[in-house]
Amino acid sequence: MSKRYLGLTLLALFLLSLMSVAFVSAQDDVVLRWRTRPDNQAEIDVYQAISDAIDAEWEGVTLQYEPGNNEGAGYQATLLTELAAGTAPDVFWIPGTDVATFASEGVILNLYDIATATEGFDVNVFYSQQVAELTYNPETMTNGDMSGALWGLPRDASAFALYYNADLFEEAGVDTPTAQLEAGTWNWDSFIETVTAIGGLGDDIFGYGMNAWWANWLLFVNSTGSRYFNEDRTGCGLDNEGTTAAMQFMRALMDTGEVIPYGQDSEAPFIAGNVGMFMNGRWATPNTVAQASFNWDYAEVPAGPDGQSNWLFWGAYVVNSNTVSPELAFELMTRLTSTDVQAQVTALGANIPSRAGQDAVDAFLNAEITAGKNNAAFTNALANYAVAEAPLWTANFQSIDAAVGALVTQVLTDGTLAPEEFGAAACAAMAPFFEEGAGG
Amino acid sequence: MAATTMTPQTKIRDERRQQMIWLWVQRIMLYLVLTLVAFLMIFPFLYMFFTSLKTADDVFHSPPRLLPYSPETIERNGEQVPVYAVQIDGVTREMVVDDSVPAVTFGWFTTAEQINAQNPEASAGLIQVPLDETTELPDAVTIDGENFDQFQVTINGQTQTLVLAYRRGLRLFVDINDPTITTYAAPRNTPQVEFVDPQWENYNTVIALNNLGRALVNTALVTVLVTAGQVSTSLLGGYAFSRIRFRGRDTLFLVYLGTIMIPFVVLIIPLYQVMVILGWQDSLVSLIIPWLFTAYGTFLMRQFFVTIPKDLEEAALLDGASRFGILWRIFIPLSGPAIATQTIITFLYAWNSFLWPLIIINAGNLNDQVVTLALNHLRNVAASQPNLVLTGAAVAVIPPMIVFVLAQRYFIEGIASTGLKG
Amino acid sequence: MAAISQARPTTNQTTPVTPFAIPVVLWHVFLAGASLYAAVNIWQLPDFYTLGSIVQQFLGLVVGAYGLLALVTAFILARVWFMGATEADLTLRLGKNEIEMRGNGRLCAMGINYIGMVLAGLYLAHLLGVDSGIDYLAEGLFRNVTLLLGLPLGYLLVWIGWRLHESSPTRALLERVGLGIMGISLMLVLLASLARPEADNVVGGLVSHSVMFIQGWLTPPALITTGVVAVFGAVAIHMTRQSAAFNEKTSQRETWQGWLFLLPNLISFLLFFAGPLLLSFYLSFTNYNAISPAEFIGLENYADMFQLSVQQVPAGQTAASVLPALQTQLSEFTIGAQRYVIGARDPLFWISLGNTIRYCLLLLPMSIIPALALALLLNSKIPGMKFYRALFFIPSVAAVVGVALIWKWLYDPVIGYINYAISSITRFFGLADPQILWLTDTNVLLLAVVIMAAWQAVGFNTVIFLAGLQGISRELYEAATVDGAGGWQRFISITLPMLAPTSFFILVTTLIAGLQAFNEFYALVQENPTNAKLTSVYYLQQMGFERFQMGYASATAWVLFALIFVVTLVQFRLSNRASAYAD
Repeated sequence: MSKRYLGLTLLALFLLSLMSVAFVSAQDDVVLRWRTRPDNQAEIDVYQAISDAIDAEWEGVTLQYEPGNNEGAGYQATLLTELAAGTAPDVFWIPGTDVATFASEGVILNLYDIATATEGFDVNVFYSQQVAELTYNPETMTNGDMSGALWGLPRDASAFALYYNADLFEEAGVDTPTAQLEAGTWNWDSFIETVTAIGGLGDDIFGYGMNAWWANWLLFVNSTGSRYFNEDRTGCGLDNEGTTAAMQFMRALMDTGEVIPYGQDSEAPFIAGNVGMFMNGRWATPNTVAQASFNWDYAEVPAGPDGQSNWLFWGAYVVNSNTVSPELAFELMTRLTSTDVQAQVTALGANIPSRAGQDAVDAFLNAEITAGKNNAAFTNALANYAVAEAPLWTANFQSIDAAVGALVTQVLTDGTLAPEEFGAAACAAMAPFFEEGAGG
Repeated sequence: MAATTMTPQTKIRDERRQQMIWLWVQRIMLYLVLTLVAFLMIFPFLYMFFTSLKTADDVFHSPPRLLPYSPETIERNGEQVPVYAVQIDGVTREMVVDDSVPAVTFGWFTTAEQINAQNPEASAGLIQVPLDETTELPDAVTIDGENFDQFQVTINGQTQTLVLAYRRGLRLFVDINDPTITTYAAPRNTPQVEFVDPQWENYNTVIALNNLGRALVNTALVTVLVTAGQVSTSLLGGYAFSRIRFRGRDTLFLVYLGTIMIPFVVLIIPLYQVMVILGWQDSLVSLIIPWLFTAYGTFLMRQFFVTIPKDLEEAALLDGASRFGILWRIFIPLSGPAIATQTIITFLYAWNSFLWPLIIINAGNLNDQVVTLALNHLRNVAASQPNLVLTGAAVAVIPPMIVFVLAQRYFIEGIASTGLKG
Repeated sequence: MAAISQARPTTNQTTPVTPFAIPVVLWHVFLAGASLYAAVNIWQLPDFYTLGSIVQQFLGLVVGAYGLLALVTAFILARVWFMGATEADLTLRLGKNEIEMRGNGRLCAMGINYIGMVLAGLYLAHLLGVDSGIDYLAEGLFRNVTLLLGLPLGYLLVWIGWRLHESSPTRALLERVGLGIMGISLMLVLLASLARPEADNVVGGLVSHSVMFIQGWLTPPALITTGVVAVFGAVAIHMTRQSAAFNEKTSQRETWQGWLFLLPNLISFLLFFAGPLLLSFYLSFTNYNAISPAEFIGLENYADMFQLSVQQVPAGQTAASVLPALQTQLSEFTIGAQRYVIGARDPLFWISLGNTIRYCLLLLPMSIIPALALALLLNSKIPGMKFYRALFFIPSVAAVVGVALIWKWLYDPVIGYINYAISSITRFFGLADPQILWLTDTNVLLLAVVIMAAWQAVGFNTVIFLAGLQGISRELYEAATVDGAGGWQRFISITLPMLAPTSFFILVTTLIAGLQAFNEFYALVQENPTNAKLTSVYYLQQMGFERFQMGYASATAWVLFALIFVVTLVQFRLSNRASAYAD
């Protein structure tokens, strides 16, 4: 065979192989596409199964589930591009803090009218903190089920807990956080003592670790009664003594030398068994279950001057403004947030149901993946003292967070900013963004 | 003394010998220095390779060590438990933790005079007693600004008031050969019996994990197409610029030269928009078609073609050969080294490119990612398993190294000769 | 040579009319009409991918120009064919230049139709799914990747063959078998990849693939486009064949041949380089955010970026209170007892620019001085030098993303080798262990990235220095030795000056790459929450693709480009002077 023919054949085959065509099958059903942010393949599989089940029982509608990006890079960025290009799905999930941005840009629908027209629908089955945020009406500045606004339905809830390494507590001869909580001595002072005692076990052992993003340091600020923003969320709320106390406490924690330096990854050393307590959300559970080769459990965070605090993290399903059918999209949302669906997602271990009823709480507490563990650390926080992470309607949250986050790092790492100066500096850094407004 | 009896000849011989010795010393020094530098250059890759063979727990061993180890285990009560090497009275024994006995908290006590407040573990006269056998006193003592709890401790029937330097919860260890020999120790600090155990399956795990196998295939396909495309457009363009005298050639060539200076960042945002308009975002075609043009490659080919004598071509033209025929039959066979150099440079560039795929391919799209993206993704999903992350790094880094080793000569010489002309 | 380049004299002969004259002229008239109609429509489009009206007006102008050209061509062809206009009739005189319109009319017709054919062909390929076909092909390859094992196997046989003597019959055999295995394996892989995976076997899959392909082609849009491609192609080929009739001159032939050769290159240059470049320039003057239509805002982006102010801070007042509205504190300094504060509208721009420049300033000495030293060591005729040269080069072939993951763990404060080495050394000398937090401490983070980048670049720079060293003639050194110059003197007076062009080349390429640093930072320290990790490109990526302020991000890109441009200009100046010195 001549080389030239061989070459030509290959070339022809290659060109032919490029020319594949897409199926365009005739479809009478309304096609609804939906998306949520998965963290791993197991979640994708569950959501796919949920989608298939709803699809099977729902006449006249065909569902297409498409897993979005995971958290590592640009889930929201992808969505924004697709919204711009007109290829975004009908129903999609966004983090709670992004509701304001998406609503201000006009890319998601206000579902209030559809919801009020839907028989048997009650938004108050979800945690009240979430409902307050999802029904916020920026025009009237009111919220609640009569506000005239409903931006979406919460997919789930989450909260922080201290994941602690029970083996290290045992070796250090220190009472576990839960034991200390029951004894009524679980506060900032005993926290520092515990951290010091565990860190004393060795040079490569740390008493505590946390991630370097806003919810972590703000949790301590919140437990002094201080807040990120002022009451109507139109300005800074940090310039006060509570903030200073919280920053001093965290600085003192860092100064023990037994805490993973702020900004350094805490998860890997925790999983390796070198960290006593690691503050993280419920989402860290599947990985910890799969990989930790030591005994561990959950505990609640210690009380600050103003008592305990925690976050209610959440995300919501929202409806694309360009959906083929707002009514069907809303129905899909209600189906995706049903008790049954939430139980299936809860079973994976990474989420807490957003329904506040006892059924949902029981399903969570008895989840098989964390049987025997102190799951109530999460639900206690949600029911009693968790503050919802909230969208910011008056300025761009990401910009503010980038500016203030840098100051936090200054306080907690190189010490170029004193804890006492932090509040004023943070408020100064925040001010221009409020002047710019939400668009900037 | 010897010098006085030295003849001129022996003197010369001596000097030459000295010179030879000096030369050899120099050479050995040179090789030593070069070997040391080479070690520093290669060490990160050795680290990558050995870590890729470890278990996740083994990576966190401190101090670090290169070889991959696994703990020796034995079956005990139906479970595999690790074997520890415990020193008792100078004898090293193979022991296991007795799970049926809960941890016992011991205190290390000493007198208030002997305690080292800054580093209590280094205090003198420490005595180890289970805390249960002692009684805590209500008052603590303050020594050098540190608070220490006081305890009533009974030693040999004698009760003393001592301060607690530190405490540890210890587990009961049992000798696997002689269950009567037991001791208390902290499992974490006790060396395990280990053996070298490379985890080759890490490679399978990581290739299956987040579709790295698909990423490899995608990268290979993209790299091959981009390389083939760039070399062909450069050959055609380089030929036109060097051998055909057409209107607008010199202006266009200047424009091409100018574009070499323009950094890619200027193009990112509009190119992204062009991809959106063409509907190419988030698909492999966006990694290929926009990269078929290269001003630098065209320039290099033109520079090479200019050096080919004109006579060959003119004879062919007179014979009525087509332009394409001339390029195909005369120029391409003569430009082996130039093509090889460009091929390798493009190959590495395409294989290693990151910023553009990061922007144009959605992170959740595991079907259209390339290896660099897969790696970036892997560092997030396997953040707590550095062994897997480095296995992924090895998978991404090793293919270009193989290409480099195979084509080393072309590569280094190509860089050395063309680099200077740029 | 002379025979070829000599132009044929201008003639007064009329052009023989082809049988296709009427359709060809009508086709150009139609093209002109269609393009002008399209141009008007594009101009009036309500919204073009939110890019703003200027972009669509520009596109309208381009299409309109194409239509006008088609009109002019139709006019020339009509005069040539139907009115018997000769070359002389159609030659325009503009000052000294004569423009021969008849031949050029033909060239225009060829150009219009070739370009039309290529563009319509690309559109047809898009309709037939060629672009998404690459994804399909990759998926198929992935399914059948084991079949590709034939490639290394065949290569191995060929390679063994090449070790044998030229005339050995085994060599030819091995070569043939090896190539055969490679070819067959490639073909099998392609066939298997082409086949639809849902079919039972490869043949069925191939059949159903072909059926789907033909079905796709038989849709009205694809058929119409195919027809358009065919007409464009036929007219282009027909006009090409009219060379004798139009008395084609060598310069004219070379013109179309040259442009034809450049066409593949040129199309991607225009579509993916020149076009985006213009778009980028335009976007930098807009508030483009990918969602709402871009609005032209003049120099506002640039003005915001460069807005700086220096204010005195009176005692007892905070820095924030003296800064103008919308500015935040960038830095502060004290002269005497007076405190001053520098405010910026966009402090992150300045911080990222500062980081980039500091990175370059650190990277230059750390990647160039060791490379020069290594090159001097390697520049001797003793054995093994090529081996070392190759070893040193290896880091530069590895992907930064992979390399950064390795270094991330080498830098780990607890289990990393770097701190382990430092603490071993400090313990040996009885010093305090610094326990550096390489990737967390904002003061050393930059150094950590520089060390990694220098490690990657040293081998590359060494190779280039070596090439420069080998270009220095031995005689210079011998002459200097005769004059009694020592090793150090020879280095200062010969090696360094002779290496000046090489050094400048390395300096500038390092600087240009350094100013665009992104991968190193993103891959090594993306988890760091502070601004210390931001380089200019990193900032651009965040602004453009995380916060979607694409107009502003484009403006940053152009500022960076200006900076690189200045660096390059300075390099040209200096290197000219340096090479003059070396000569």
